[in-house]
Amino acid sequence: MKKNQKKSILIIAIITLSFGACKEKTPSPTTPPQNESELITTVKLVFTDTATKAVSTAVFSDLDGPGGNAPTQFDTIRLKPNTVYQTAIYLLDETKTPVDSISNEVLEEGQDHLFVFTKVGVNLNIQIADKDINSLPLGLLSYWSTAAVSNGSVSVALKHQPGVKDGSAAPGETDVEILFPCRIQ
Amino acid sequence: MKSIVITLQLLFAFSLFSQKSDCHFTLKGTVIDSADNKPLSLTNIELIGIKGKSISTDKLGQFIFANLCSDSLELHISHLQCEHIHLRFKLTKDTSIVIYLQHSNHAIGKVTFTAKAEQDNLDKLNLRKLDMQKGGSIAELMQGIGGITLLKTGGTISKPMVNGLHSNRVIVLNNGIRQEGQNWGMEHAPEIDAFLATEIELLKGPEALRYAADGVGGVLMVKPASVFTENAQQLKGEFNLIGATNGRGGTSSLILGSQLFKLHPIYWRVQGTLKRSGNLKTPDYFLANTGTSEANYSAALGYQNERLKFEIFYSAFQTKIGIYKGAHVGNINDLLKAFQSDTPMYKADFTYAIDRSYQQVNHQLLKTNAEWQLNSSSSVQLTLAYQKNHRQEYDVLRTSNAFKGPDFDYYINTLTGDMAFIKSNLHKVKWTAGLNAIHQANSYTGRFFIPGFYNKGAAAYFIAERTWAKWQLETGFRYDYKHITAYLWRGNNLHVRNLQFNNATYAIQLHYQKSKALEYIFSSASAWRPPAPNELYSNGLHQGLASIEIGDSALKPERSYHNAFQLKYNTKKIKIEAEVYQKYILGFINLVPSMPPQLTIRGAFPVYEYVQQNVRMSGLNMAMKLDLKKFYYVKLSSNLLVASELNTHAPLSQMPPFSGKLTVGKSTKKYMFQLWGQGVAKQYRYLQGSDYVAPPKGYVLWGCDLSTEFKIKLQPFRFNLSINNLLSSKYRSYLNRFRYFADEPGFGLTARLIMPLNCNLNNNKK
Repeated sequence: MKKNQKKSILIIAIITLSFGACKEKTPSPTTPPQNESELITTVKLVFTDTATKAVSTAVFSDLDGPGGNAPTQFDTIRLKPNTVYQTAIYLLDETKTPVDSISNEVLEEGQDHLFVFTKVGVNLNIQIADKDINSLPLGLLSYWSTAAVSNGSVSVALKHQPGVKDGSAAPGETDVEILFPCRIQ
Repeated sequence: MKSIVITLQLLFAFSLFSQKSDCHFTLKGTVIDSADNKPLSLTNIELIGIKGKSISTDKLGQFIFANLCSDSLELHISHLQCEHIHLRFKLTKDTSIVIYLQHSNHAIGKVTFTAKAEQDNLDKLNLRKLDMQKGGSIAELMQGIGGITLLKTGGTISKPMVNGLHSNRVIVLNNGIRQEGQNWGMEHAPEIDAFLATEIELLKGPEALRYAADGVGGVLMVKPASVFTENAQQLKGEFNLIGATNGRGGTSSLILGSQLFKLHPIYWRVQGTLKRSGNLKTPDYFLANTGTSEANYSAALGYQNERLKFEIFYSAFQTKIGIYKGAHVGNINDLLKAFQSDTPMYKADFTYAIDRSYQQVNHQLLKTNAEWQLNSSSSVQLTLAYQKNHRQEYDVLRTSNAFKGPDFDYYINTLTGDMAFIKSNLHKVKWTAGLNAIHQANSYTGRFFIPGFYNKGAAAYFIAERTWAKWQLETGFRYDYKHITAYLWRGNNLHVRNLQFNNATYAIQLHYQKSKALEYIFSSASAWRPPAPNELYSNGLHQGLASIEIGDSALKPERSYHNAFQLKYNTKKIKIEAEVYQKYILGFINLVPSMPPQLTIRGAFPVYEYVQQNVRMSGLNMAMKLDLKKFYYVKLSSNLLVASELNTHAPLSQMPPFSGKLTVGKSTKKYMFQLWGQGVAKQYRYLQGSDYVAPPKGYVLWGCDLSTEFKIKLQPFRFNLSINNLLSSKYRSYLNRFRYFADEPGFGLTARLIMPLNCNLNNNKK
């Protein structure tokens, strides 16, 4: 092959390479946004009276995620005195159809997650009832034992502790943290 | 590369030899560097209109053309492919000329008054200075320029801050094209391969108006080497090999270019860079997930004859940047906990692996540029460029079996065109008139932060300069029209917003050469900037900062008025450059805390809103070099900035604190060694309660550099070593957004081997 031909091929190769690399598809500016992949919109606490089997709930719901509009539902936890409740926590993404239950993912990866309950001013004792595969507490299921009538708050937090879970609240970052007003009445 | 430009002093020494018949005249000459009166070799001398009459000066700066006819001659004189000069005269006898070429400080063929050789320049970095910074990001390269500090996000992301302003307010020109990425983000670094730069300059005069109206903070120009090599029969290039201890990083970069065909003036150049670095280390611990990787390449082709210069350039930049794991906080309590903790939450060892969260950015540029020399004094330039920027941001996932893609996916494609007519009347008057046009489409998938939009704009500009004996005046005027159509989704409803802006920009610069050593420069400029999409429409959680940012769709453009006085004093022993400036920005778009905190599923977050204020920024940038006996020297530089809101006098946040740097060194022909100490004060000017924690305390860092040149057989090498944070001091920087979470990197040694390549292609097998 002649030298000039070789060189011409080089030029053509460079130019094609350049244009070829530009071919990736770009969405249009009018594309509607996708729903956030990992959104938690709703935290639902379901209390079952261990004696009467009566069920009550407390819900926090912010359907458009952080920012934007204010939460659409933010309940006060109302419990009876001197009662033991079995409490189940449900985490939902209500922007998806059907509603996506994120608590299942938390259960599957229990070794990376921990629910932390912090009460202020209420006569209440909370004990985590479930464990992850490493026998460390998880918190999707817990027992809440109430005492005398009182007012205060309970903070429900979900910690994401991949690789650093040791059963304590300190490590990791917070995926959920809601300060529910709480009344024992 | 130093730009050699025009000439003030052109000495024609016509000498009379014996008369000869029509086509037997000789033209000989010498080209002299006016900076040091030494002959300039490798200067290209071209006789326009006469085929094959192009030669280079020899070691003595001399050239000779024989057998010329009696005619009007047009000479084109260029050195290192930078700006060139044209000379016209009628040849009627054997002639000898002396041409003084002068080094310039400026980008667009500007006349300068004094000799400025390898001088410490406040607003410009040349190849030699860049050598000592190689291996860093493009922003790290820029910080040697007076007034430039780095705005960092951890140890892996840095972007330039010009006199306290950054992001939307600072324009970066890459190879003459305005860099168009998601520039608004404080954690979005410029997507430019640092090895493409052979010169970086902060444009201060009216020439900046050619490129942009909205450089409220400044316009930074990154110039690559020219594709047009001087010697046709040489393969020219450079190979760089760099290793750094902190992060155990390695970089290699190769650039190669030559003339493609022996008989046609077609030139080529290819270039590529590979970079990899792992977890950085503070004096006490490794920073989890702070690895980076980068792979870039570029190719250029150029054609040049007497009248036409044509270039096509393509570059691709790809990077993956790890984001420090300890900075990922879920809510404000996590953030407060991170402040109180002295040790990181996530212990890490060294690794090159990059985990979520990270950024992945791909930037491509295709540029064509044509320049016609219409006659000796006028030319037309046409530039077309297409840029494609794709940024992906991957956050930490809540569960590992969830979705694996990016949380944010931004696309911004930009087509720009520029047409300019340049007229230069030898050395007295020069003017440029031109038109700009832009079409830009922005889109995203994933979480909403800024909306999709189309941005269309057009501008006309006029820049002129006039030179008198000791004075030089430059003026520029530009008028812009901009139309933005933004597409906002509210639930399932699409809202279309149309925004229109049009406004004027001007700049004036006056130089006065008081004496051979002393020069004064006064400049006055005004710029305006329309509000950016994030300032208008953002409404959401800023994960890294645990805050909610709310835009305001009613924001108006901001306008700046900048006045500066610059003094340059330059003798053999002492060189001083000092600049005082004052800038007023009316309607400065600022993110300020607003009450009350907003409740989310992750707890309450503080809310920040974009508001407009009138602000004043005053500052002083200074650099000085003192040459002592026996090749010793002392350098001193400092930056001072005071920025306040005009009514309340409240200090603006995130402004660089006072800093100063002292360097002592020795530079001989064989080696250079220097030791430096840099002091950065605490930022005392800060509004109580405007930040989660008070600004970190001041610190002093030490470092040293060593550089030398040597030869193995015939191959020359440049070798240099730099040590940063010599004493491995523990400190945090106010301009690092991750100052809340971790210390800055400790001791780091970087070694660089630079191998200039010069191969002769003389395979004359004919």
